[in-house]
Amino acid sequence: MTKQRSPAIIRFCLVFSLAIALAAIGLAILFDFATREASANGQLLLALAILLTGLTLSVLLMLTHPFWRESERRTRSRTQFNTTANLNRERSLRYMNERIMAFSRDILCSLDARGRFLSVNPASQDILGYRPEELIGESSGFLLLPEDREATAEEIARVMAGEHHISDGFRNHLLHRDGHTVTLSWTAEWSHEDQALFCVGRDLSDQLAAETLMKERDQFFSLSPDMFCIVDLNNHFFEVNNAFEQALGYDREELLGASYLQLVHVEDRPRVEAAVATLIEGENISDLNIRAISKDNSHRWLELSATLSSDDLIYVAARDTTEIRATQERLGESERLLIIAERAAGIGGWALDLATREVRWSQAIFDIHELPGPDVPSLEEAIGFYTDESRETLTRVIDNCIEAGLPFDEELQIRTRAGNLKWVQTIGQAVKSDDGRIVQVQGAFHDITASHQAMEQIRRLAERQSTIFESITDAFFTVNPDWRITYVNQRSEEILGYGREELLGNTLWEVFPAILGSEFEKQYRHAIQTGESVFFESHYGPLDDWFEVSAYPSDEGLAVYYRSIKERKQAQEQLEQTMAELERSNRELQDFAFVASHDLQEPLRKIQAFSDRLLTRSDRFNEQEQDYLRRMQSAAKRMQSLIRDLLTYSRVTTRAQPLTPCNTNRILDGVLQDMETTIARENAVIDVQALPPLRGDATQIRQVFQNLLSNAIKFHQPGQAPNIMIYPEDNQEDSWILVVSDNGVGFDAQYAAKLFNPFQRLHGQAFPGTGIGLAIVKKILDRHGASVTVDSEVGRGTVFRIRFPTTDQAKGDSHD
Amino acid sequence: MTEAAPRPVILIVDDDSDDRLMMRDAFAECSHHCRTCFARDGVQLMRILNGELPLSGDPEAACGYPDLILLDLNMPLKDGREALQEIKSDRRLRKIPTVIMTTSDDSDDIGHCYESGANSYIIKPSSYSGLLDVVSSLTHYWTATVRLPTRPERHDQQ
Repeated sequence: MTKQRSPAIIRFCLVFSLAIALAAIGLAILFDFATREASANGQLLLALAILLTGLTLSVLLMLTHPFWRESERRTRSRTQFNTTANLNRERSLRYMNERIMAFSRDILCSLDARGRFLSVNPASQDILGYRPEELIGESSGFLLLPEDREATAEEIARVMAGEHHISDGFRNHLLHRDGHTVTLSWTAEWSHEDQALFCVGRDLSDQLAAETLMKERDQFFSLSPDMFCIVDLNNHFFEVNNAFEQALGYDREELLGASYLQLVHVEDRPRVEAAVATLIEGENISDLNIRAISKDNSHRWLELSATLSSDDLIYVAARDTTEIRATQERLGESERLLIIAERAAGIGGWALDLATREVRWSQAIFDIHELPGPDVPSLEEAIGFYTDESRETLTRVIDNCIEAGLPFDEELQIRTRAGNLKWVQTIGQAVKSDDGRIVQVQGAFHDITASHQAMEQIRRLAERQSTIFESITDAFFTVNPDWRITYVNQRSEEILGYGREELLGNTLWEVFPAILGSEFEKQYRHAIQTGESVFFESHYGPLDDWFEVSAYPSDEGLAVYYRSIKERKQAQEQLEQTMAELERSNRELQDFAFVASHDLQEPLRKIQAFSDRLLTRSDRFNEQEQDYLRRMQSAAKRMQSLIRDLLTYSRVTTRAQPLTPCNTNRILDGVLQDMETTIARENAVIDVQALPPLRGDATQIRQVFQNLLSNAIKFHQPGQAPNIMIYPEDNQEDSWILVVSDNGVGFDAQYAAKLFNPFQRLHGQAFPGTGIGLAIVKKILDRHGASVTVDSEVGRGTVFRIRFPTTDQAKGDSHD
Repeated sequence: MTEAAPRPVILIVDDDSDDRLMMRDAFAECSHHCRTCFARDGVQLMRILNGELPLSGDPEAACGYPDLILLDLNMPLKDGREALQEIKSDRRLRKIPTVIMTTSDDSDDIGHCYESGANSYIIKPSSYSGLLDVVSSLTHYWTATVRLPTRPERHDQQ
């Protein structure tokens, strides 16, 4: 190019020199004019200047001339060369152009000044859907979108005006033949000599698509809540998105260019580096869990996935799993707790996949079967754990479930691996796939041995209870809070004369209207109201019977036990009657005894009196007659004393008085005083010691002493004065022994049993007496709850030992 | 005017004829200065005391009041207890000393009788000699030891 321009430069130089020469001349003239008055030096200088200038110009002319000629020659030769070369090149260029034009993906076209296509390359077909021959000669305007027309026209105008003939990336939209819009980027140049606008249009669609995609990706990248970052192989952050910033608390500016290893926990760095190595080897990374240090120095767990792209950048997607891990930890814990709970409760879950026949068990089920796990037994093995009957049931219900989808809930028995029998509750249901086929059976499994046993026990108890209820002799029924009869036992049915079915469910008042307004109703309502049990007796009209009723209120209503006490009442009445009669009889007896004794004694008295009368007239009778009279008298007397004694004997009970504390010594002293004369007469020596008090009827105790003492005195050894000792023995808290011992004649101990019989005289008629004295003593002592023992030896004397109780043990008689 | 004090009249009330006999004999034997009259039961006794019946057995006992009554307790119709009560609650009659006769030493009975106003009691003895003793001490007491009250005036005498 420079060579082409050289002639032009030479010309320019020539022109310029000429211009300078002229200027110099002009200046000289002017100067001359100006310096007419100037010095001669000046004029000299000026002349020199002009000369120099003229010289310079001439030299220049000379110099440039060869150059000018050279260049012309060159130009001529070049032109010559160029012409041939040009021709060849032109030919090859044209060929190449045609190929380029044909193969170019861009639209190469030229438009005339009016915008009509002069030439178009085949790319127009691909891009615009028009073949070149369809476009040539047509105005390009029709291809433009209306909104672009103005801009395009402006641009063309600019280009044509030469303002900038390299338009850089002017874009407009053209209509494809199909109607869709194609975006093109134009480069155009106006050729004035060709009077054509040469244009190159690039289809931006893909580019646009890529741009949009890029934009979208960018948006996605920046706006995504997931953390993304791009790092380079020098461990620096290349790009991070908002989510990344926010998750770790750093700003983008802080991160870009910074080393990402700083953010990684020290312990995790080796793994990160290893991951990078893996990426370089061409493998992607997924699920790399590391700890990142956020701005506030807290640790966040991140799960990273990364890939190395072709641009040597590692694209990383990260998930903040801190929460998830925490949740999972909690979940894990919950799960662990659940397992613990399951195992503790003995409840487990199971599943049977029908396709694979695979059985799944939760841990608790292993426990129940006493298997160590973790290998789950096969279905057959699992069924084998059950006892024979249970197995039958189980197989049946499982089959039903598998075939018909029937859920089951069975209580069955298994024998564990260790050989223990257990009761289990197994529940199952069918799981269907989306198309309605049964694909799985799953359910729960529960060790119910304990509760089963308990239930068994309850059942047995209930049975027993029911049996008891049915068998108790009391009649029994229960009502609920609404007074509806809820239970009736058999005895109740018998007594009331109604069957169970007739009674159950009806209210008490409906079935037994007779009790309305009665004591029964009153008591029942009282019990319910106050919550207190009631016990009462009442007469029930319809059955004409007396009942003893116990009613116990509770939350469930009222439980009523009742029994017919007609017999008891009758028995009671009977008893009362009998008692009354007894009492009457007793009284009568008493009266009778009294009257009898009186009436019996009267004649005896008279016999005695009259015979005595006769005896006073003893001169009328001889010895024998007097003797007879005396015998009569003594017989009568004897009878009298018998009767008197009998009366006394009977009076032990009929004239009994209540037992009170008695001063024993005082009673004894009284008796001794009464017997003074007898004692004196017989020269009896009676030794009395201090005696504890006793509980008794004073009068009767007196009688005891009297009888014992008179016996002791009466039954003395002939010639020997009676020596009697009275003293206490074995003084205990609740009793003591009174001892009366004498030195009298004693008696044969073999007759000891007969001693206290009425009218028993062991010495025959050797000693006077009716033989009732000791019988009376015995009867009195019996009444006092005192026991008596006698020791005697013939010729040695007799000892009476009487144990008196001092507490309330003494039994009274019917009068007490 | 002084006349010989009449002999005291002792009225013996007993339903038993044997007893009456015994008493009569006993009194006759040991006490000569008493006269004895008899009544069978309480009814008769009251009638005698009311003047409806004369004191039997003695024409001299025209005034009708005995000086001493010996009263058996157990009698039919009206027994001694009842009669005693009637006597001792009657203003006119209660001055007459009344001695109860009983066969038993029933202290209750005796106690009641005392409460009713009996002056004394004797137990009918079963021997004659005993009876004699009783009678003599009785008469001795009541006639010699104790001054018998003057006989009450009778306003209407038969």
